[in-house]
Amino acid sequence: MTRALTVPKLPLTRRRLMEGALAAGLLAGQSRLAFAQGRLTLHRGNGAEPGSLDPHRVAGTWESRIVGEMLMGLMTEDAAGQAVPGMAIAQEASADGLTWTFTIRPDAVWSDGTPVTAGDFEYAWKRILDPATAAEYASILHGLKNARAVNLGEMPVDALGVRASGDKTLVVELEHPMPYLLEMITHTAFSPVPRHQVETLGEDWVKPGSYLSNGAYKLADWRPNDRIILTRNEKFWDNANVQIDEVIFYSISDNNAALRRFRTGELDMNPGWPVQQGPDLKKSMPDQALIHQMLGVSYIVANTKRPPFDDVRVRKALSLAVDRKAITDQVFMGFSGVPAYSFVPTGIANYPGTPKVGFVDMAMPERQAEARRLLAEAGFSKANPLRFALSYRSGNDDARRYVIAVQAMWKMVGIEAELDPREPKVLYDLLKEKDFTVGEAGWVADFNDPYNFLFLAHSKSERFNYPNFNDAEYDRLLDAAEREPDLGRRGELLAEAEQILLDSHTFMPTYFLVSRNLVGRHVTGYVGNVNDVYRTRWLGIDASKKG
Amino acid sequence: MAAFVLRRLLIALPTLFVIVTLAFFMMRIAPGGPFDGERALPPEIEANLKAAYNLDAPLPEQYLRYLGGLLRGDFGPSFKTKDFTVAELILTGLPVSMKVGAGALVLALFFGVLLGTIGALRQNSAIDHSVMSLAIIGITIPTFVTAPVLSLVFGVYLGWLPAGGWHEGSLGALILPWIVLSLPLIAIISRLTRTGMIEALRSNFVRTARAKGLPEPVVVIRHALPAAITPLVSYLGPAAAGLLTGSLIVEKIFALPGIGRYFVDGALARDYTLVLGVVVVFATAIVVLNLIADILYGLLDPRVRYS
Repeated sequence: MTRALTVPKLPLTRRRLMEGALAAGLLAGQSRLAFAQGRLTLHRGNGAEPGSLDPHRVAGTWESRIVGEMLMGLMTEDAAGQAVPGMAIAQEASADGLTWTFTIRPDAVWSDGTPVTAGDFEYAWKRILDPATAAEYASILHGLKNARAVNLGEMPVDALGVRASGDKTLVVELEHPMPYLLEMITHTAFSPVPRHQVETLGEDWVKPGSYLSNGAYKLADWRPNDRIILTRNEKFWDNANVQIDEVIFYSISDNNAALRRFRTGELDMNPGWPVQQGPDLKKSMPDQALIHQMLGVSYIVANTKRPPFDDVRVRKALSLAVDRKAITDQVFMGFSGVPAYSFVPTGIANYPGTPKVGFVDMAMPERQAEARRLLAEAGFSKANPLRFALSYRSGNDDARRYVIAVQAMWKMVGIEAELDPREPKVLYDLLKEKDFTVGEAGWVADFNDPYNFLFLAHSKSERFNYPNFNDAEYDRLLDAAEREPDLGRRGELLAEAEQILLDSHTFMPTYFLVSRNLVGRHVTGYVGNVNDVYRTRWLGIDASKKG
Repeated sequence: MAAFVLRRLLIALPTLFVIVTLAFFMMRIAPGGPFDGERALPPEIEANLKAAYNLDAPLPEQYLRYLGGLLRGDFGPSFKTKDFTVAELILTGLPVSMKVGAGALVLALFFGVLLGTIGALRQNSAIDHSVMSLAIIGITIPTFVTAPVLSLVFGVYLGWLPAGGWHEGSLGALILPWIVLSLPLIAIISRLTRTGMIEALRSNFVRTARAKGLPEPVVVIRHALPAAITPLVSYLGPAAAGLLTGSLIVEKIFALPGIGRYFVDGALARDYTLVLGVVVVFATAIVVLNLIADILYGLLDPRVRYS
């Protein structure tokens, strides 16, 4: 559900002046020309510069946003970001849920006219798991049979549980049932690659001119740090229903700069806008500056290997004292999160969603009193306050405001936290190596399922399990859920596990993330969604509302 | 002079070598690595990645390998922008940065020297004071303020120019970056020129030129100006190197595809090869532009000998 900002709009942009003589003389003629030819071009801001357009080398949303326009997996996303058939027209699961058979769309071809085959998928999935490819996102495929061993180099690539049976049938074997399989394989890491092209050109197949698409768009040009131009793929099986002829993605890492370019009409969409501009945007363009909850959580972790954080009373005191609502409503002014009392975001698929931290219904003064009592029990007092360093990401204004607020909230119950800003790369390294005391972290789901959050705290997920949470019962419940074919029963097992996690106060959820999108009022077909995925193939431009 | 240039270039090689060596090891001392991110990688995948980029070899071996590549003109692959080599990134970005920087340099020189000369000729007059006040403002307001303000005014409110973006290098996209980059330089250049000019106008050779009965414009332009801008030349060497290799702030705010952002972004991303590539470019630019400045000295001041 898109939460549009609801305050009457004021006329603000003066785009018409762009038509003036000066602008006409100075602006590049490209977009004007495109307009003259009746071609529809969509200009989209894209945050950071993509590191790669090879589906096996991408790691960020700013990369998969573009790759997803060009490559289509067995399943793909509809206008609302939900999984719908892509290259597969039918699938069948065995009774034990361990073997899936997909039938590939008969009319699907690559942009050079070569048919898309089951072999392209088999080749792609083996390629991403091949240790030689060194794919950062390979672990998302580890649920395929023997995938982990293949990725480790312990088994040959051919041992992987995927094989083409003829040109149009793909048989996939799994390590354990995955009720979220169809959701998960919309992820870019599961894209096919054009085997014939990759085998001929190697890594260079991703260059403009060589890149082959089986999706709605193909790669026309890429100038690093400027823009990536995609044009309509006439060979796309659903091309008749695609409205936009050309989509240009611009790398604009500064949200303020993107907002200015959106206001001048240079951008039609942008994935982000500055929180600080929220109150102004709420007045000037409530129908264009949109926010929507997404599947992500921001949380605080306390390292249980470092006393006194091995004491649950101390951790609970920390969590009690953090006023979630004050953070989302006052610090972020309602533009950057919703209070979180569970670790798995509300509204996630395949989940009853009952677990909550125990103090969810307590008023703040009560919570603060309880925090003080717990701290006193653990041996802390005014004369001997709890002191530690709170590590956080530097260079991010929102993160800084957030930790300053948390620091002040802790101060109210007598906790002395010292702010410890770290470069993001350094912070993540410290968290991973467990070389921190208390830190802030976050997680955005790769696919819409609670397991994608809860596995972080499994004792085997060493590098994700920053606080060193280690609970045999939790691990048992998670492992049982992984083998459970019944979706309802599985959800209960996972919920039981989450309650254990919440009661441990090792991962302390503070707020669920929201996406902030700028969407021009002339852009049609936009449906805000928790996955924050908006494929251009579903969008259009209503020229009467432009300008 | 050829011997002078040759000698200077020969000295430059060991200088570059020292800079690259220092930069290489300083990057590696910094904590965190190119593959640390929000998503911690499973150890086996991190090992695969390190092997693919030779990061698992001992540091001295990596260093020698890098130097060897550099001597063959191979700057290595970029860790972050994986579809491009560092050389490709620099070759596409450098012309953009140079175009932005060169325009700003020309603007800065023209207006800086003009304003400085006017100030000196009308010393302590109202014009002089207002020009120098403007110069102070130009120095004190940082580019991260002027850039968004100009973009907002001329891009969003007036709609005369694009608020940002490269727009295939069109003139409209260049005007605001040129102005933003040149403002602080105009300030410094006008002050340097004014001081130099006041001194030159008081010197004996100017008095001689006036005594010969030369018209005032000829005295100022042909005789006083070359002497007045000598101090400027030594300032311009490093300043031009900085301008032509791109500005992080201006490139970010106007979303220009230059190489200025690679230095800081690359360092934050621990994109070792990219940072080293930019260091090599920047160091080379400084060496070459300082050499040009030294040659210019000789042309401006007949007392200077190349030795």
